[in-house]
Amino acid sequence: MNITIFGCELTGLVSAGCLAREGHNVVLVATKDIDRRVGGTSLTQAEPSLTFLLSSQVIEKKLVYMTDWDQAIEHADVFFISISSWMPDIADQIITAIGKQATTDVIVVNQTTFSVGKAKEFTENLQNSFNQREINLIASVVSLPEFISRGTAVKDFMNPDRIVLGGENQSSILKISELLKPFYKQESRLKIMSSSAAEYTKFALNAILATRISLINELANNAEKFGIDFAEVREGIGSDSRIGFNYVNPGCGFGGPSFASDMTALVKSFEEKGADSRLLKAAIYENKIQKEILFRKAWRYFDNNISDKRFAVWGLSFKPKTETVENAPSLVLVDALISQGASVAVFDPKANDSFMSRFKYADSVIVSNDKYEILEQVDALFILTEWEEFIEADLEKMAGLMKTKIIFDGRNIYEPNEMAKKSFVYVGTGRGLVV
Amino acid sequence: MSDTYLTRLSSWQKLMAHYQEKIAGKHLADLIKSPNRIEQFSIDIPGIYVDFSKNRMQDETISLLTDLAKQQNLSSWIKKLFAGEKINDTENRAALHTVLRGDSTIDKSFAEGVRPSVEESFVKMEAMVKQIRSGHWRGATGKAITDVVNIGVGGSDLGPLMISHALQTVVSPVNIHFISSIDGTQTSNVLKKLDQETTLFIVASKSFSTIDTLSNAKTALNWLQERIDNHVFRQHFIGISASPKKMDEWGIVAQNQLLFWDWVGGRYSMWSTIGLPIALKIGMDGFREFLAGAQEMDKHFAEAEFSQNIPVMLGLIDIWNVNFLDIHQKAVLPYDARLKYLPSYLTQLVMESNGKSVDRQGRAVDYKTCPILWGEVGSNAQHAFYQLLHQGTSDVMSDFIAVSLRDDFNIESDDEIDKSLLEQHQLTLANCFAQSRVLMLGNEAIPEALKERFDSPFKQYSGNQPSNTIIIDKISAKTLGKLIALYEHKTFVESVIWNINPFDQWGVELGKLIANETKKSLSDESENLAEKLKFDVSTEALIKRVKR
Repeated sequence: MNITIFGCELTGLVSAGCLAREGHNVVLVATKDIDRRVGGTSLTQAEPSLTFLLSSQVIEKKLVYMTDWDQAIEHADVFFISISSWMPDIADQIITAIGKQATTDVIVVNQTTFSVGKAKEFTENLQNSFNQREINLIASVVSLPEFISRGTAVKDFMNPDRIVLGGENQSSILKISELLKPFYKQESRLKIMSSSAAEYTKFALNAILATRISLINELANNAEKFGIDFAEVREGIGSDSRIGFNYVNPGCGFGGPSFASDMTALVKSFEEKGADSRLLKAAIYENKIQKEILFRKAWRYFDNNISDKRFAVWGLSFKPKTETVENAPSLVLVDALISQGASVAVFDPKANDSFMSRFKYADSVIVSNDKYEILEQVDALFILTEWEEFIEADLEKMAGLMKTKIIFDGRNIYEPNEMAKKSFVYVGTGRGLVV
Repeated sequence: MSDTYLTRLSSWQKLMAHYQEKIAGKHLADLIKSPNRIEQFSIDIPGIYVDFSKNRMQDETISLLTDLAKQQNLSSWIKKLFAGEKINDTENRAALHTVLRGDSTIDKSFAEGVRPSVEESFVKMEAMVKQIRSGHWRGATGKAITDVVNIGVGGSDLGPLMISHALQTVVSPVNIHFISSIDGTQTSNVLKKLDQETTLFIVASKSFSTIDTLSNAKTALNWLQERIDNHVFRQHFIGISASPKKMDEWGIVAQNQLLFWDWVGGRYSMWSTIGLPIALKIGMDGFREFLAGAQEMDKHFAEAEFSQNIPVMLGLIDIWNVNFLDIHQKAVLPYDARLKYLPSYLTQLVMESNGKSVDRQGRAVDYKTCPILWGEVGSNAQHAFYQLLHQGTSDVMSDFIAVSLRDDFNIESDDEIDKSLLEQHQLTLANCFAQSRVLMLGNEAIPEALKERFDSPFKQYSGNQPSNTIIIDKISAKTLGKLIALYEHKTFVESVIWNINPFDQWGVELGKLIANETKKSLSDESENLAEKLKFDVSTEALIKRVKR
C-alpha cells in the first residue's frame, strides 16, 4: 500500500517505521522544521530501537522523507495525520491540501486526538472540497488514537493491548484493519466503533489514569499524617482484582507532552457542551500541587530557609527512558528551589540538554554528566525519575559525598529501612515519615 | 500667609456684588445659552475631559474667582506644596505625597533629599510583589500564597480598596481581600473562606498603633496559629508603617517591613508602599503607571494657567457654590460600578482635609468651608436619592463621572453578550447625560409634546442644580492616577482659599482617646467603672445596657 504520514513526532516516526517494515511504501512528511537526517534527532535517539528501525527502512527504500506536500499527496491513497495535538491548524491545512489535489478515493487515518468530533469534521471538509471540484470521489476519515508511550513506543505499536478504530465508512474500516492486522494479531484486540467514540476513548482513558494517580497521591500524602507507610496499603488494595497494581504507586506527579494537555482539552470540550468536569479539574489541580510536594517537604525540613543550601537533583525527564521534560516535576521543583535562593546541580541520563535549555539564564543551576559528582557537599538529594541507574546507585559512595545525608524521593525507589540502616534521612512519598 | 480675613478681601467683596447683580435670580437654563459656553467652560487634557458649563456662572465669574485665587496666593501655595515646605504647620510636616509619583516638578531640593529612600522602599516592595505574584512567596508549610488580606483602616484601606475594585477586570495571580472595621465581623467572614497555609496578611498603619487595625491583626494571628506552628510572622505577615520600631514590637520581621514617612498623610498614602495591594493586583509596572498618571496631573496642576487648570477651576467652582450660592452638599456620581468606592474614598480625602472651622492663624472662620460630600454609583443612586436632587428642598452640586470607552469587552464583536454589554454602556452614558441635563434645566427639559403629561403640582422640576461632568477615556491605572490626583489638588485649592490646613485631622483624635476609657469600663468586671469615672448619664446607661 502507498501511505503518506504527516508529522515527525514520535507517533509519526514509529508508525512510519513499523508500516514500512511490513512492506508498505511510506512517505514521511515533516510538518515542522526538524533535522530530517534519519536518526538525527534527539527524539529518535532517545527511543529504544527507533533509530535502527528507521534507518533500516530507508536503506530498504521502503521509507522516504519528503518536504514537498504536493508530491507526498500524489504518492498515496492512505494518509496518516500524526502531528501534535496542539497543531489543529496544521491538520486543517493538510485536509485542505488533500481535498484540492486527490484524484482517487482517499482514506485519512487520524492518530491525533485534537477534540471529540474532529474526524467527522475532516470528512465533511474533504467531501466539500471534492464536491466543489465537481469530481465523484469518496473521502473517509478513520480515527486511530495512538496508545504508545515514550520509552516503549516501538514495542507498543508492534504489540498493542488493543487497537481502537473508529469510522463511519465500512470499507475504509476494513481496509485499515487489514493494514494493521500484523500488529493486533487476534480479532479480539480490534475494537471497532464510531469515529467520535474512538476519540472519546482516548480522552476517557487518560482521564481515568490521571484521576487515579491524583487520588492515590492524595491518599498517600494523607497516610503520612497517620504515620502509615502507603507501600503497605498499596499491597492491600492492589491485590484486589477490581483494582490491580497498575497506577497505585504514589509519586511527585505526572507530566509529559500530551497527558496533561489532553486533560485540559477534554475539560474544554466538556465546557463547550455546557457540561461539568469537576472531578477532572480537581485531578488536574492536585497533580499541579503534587509536583511541588518535595519542595514543601524540604522547605519544612530546613525550617523555611533554604537560601544558603546546595541541592542535587537526579532525574529530569517526566519518566525514565526519554529525554522529554515537558510538564515534568523537575521544572517546577528546580524553579521553586532557586527562587528561594538555593543553588541546584542536576543530572539525568538523557534529559540534561532539554532541561538546561529551559534554565539557560539561571546561574544557580549547574548540570553534570556524572551523577556522583553533583552530590559533593550537597545538603540534600532530590530524586524525581525512577531511572534504573538510580535504583542501582552506590549508596556508600553517595553517603561519602553528601554534606548531609538527606534524600527526598518522589518515586520511592529505595527501602526506608535499608536507608535508615545506612543512616540516611530518607523522605519518600507516602512512606510514613512526616516532614 | 494671609492675615486678612477672607471675607474682607476685595476680590471676595467683588464676587458678592457680582452674585447679587448678575447671577441671583438667573436660572441655569438661561445661563447655559451664553455664547461660546463650552469653549469657555470646559478643559480637555490627555485622558480627561471636564465640562463645567452646567454651573451658575458667567465668564466674569471665572475671572473674579481667579482674582480671589491670586489674592490668596494660590500660585505660591502650589509652589510650597511641591517644594516640600512644612505646610502642615500644626504637625510641623511637609505634605509631599507628590514626590512619591516621581521627581517634583517645581523645586527639586527637598525631593532630591527623599527620593533615594522612596526608591529604596519601592525596590523592596517590587521584590515582594514579584515573589508573591510568581507563586514563590511560601507559607510556613511550603505552599504558595494564593490570598493576600490587607488589614488597615482609613487611608490604609480606602485607597487600595477603591483602586483594586476599579481594576477588577485585570486578572491577578493572587486574590486580594480587605479588612478594616473594628467590630471583627468582616474579619471572621473573610477568614472563613481562606486557608491558613496559603494566606498572607498585610498590616498597614502609619503609626502602627491604630487600634482598629491591630485588633484585626491579632485575630488574624490567632487564626493562623490554629494551623501554623512556626515562622508565622516571617511567612505570613508584611507590615507597612512609618514606625519600624512599632512594627518590631508587634512581631513583623525586618525583611517584611515596608516603610513610608511622616510627610505622607494617611489619606495620601496609597501612592507609597501602602499601595502594595494595588501592586499585587496589577503588578509593579501597573502600579508605576498609576503613579505616572498622578504625576501627569501634578505637572498639569503646577504648570497650567488657572483658567485651563482643572484642579484650580473645579476648586474655585466649589468655593463659588459653597460661599456665594450657599450650596453645602456635594454628590459624587460615577457612572461605572467599578468606581463604587470612589465616593467613600473622597469622603475621607475631602471632608477629613477641609472639614474645619479654624483658619491657619487659629481664628474661627466666619464663612462656610467643606460641603458634606456623599455619593454612589450614579445609575443605582437614580433609584435612591436622586428624588431629593430633583424635587427636594436642598441645593446640591454634583460631579458626574463617566467612562467613554469600555475595554473590558469587545465593542466591535458580533457576539450577543458583547452586543448587549455595548448597549448597556450606551444606556449608562445616556442616563448620566440625561440626569445632569434635567438637574440643570428642570421643567425646560420636558419635550413640548409631553408637556400635558406633566401638568400636575407633583410633577414639577425646578432644575438649576449645578454640576460638573468628568469624562475619563477608560478605566486604567493611569487614568485613575490622574483622576485621584485631580481631586487631591482640587481639595488643596479649596483649603488655600479658605485659609485652612488640609493636612491635619485633630477632629478625630478626641474620640479615639475617649474610646480607650470607655473600653476599660466595658471590660471591667467587678465594679461600675463608668459611674466612677463620671461619664454622662446617657453613656452610663448605654454601657449598662450592653455590659455582660
